[in-house]
Amino acid sequence: MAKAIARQLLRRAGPIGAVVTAIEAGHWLYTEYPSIRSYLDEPKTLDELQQHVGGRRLGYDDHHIVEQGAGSREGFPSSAIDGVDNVISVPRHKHHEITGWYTRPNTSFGGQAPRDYLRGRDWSDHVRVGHQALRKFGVLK
Amino acid sequence: MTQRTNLKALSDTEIVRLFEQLCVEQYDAMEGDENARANRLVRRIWTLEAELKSRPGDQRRVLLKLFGHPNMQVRLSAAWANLAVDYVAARRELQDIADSKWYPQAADAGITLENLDSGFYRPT
Repeated sequence: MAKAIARQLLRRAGPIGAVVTAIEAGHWLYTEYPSIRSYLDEPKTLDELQQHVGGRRLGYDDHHIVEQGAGSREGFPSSAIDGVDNVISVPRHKHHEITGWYTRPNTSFGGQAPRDYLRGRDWSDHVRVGHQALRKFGVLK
Repeated sequence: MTQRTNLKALSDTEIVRLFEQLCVEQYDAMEGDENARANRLVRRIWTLEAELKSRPGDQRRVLLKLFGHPNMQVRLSAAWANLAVDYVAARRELQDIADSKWYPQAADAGITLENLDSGFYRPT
């Protein structure tokens, strides 16, 4: 991919423009590298994922296993939503992928998005689906 | 003319081609974090699947030729469509996708397999 980008830069910008753009691209790579690297993390235990919550590590996001939105929708207490058992630190791009998955109509959820399937269901169902997603996206051991 | 009426006029081959095209578009939308667009494409893909299912003999099996496609979303959607038609082949394709660790499709495939094994999901 990096080679394909470089080829396009030279075609469109010429040699000097390509140098300038390469410097900008280098800055982009520098800022994006933590998220790129974290995406390659091996799966971890819940304890390991809980260790860096709130730590603002580059390339990682705090992720709520039971979604924050479910708190207001389902009436789950904020103490549970924001509790230590529900919040973990996960690779940023994995976080995005899992969030997208929750909203996408899903064949194996009877055509519903997982978020819609979970409406009206109890806390344990939310946790079960949340853990399933984390395991299958390669975040949780 | 509704989309479903249009689909009735298409041959099986044309539907397969359109299915492939929409799956590739869905893949690209997901890669670009265009979730709303991806979700609309999912529903359009399902209408193609429903059309094939409605044809004599349940023609979802024509999507079997998309197994092993270079685009992972094409493979995944074709596998899903065939679970009720050729369970063994579709399941094998899902396992292959899950083992590839090509996300997010690998996750979707793995979750489907788990939901099949638990009885949570029963394909029709």
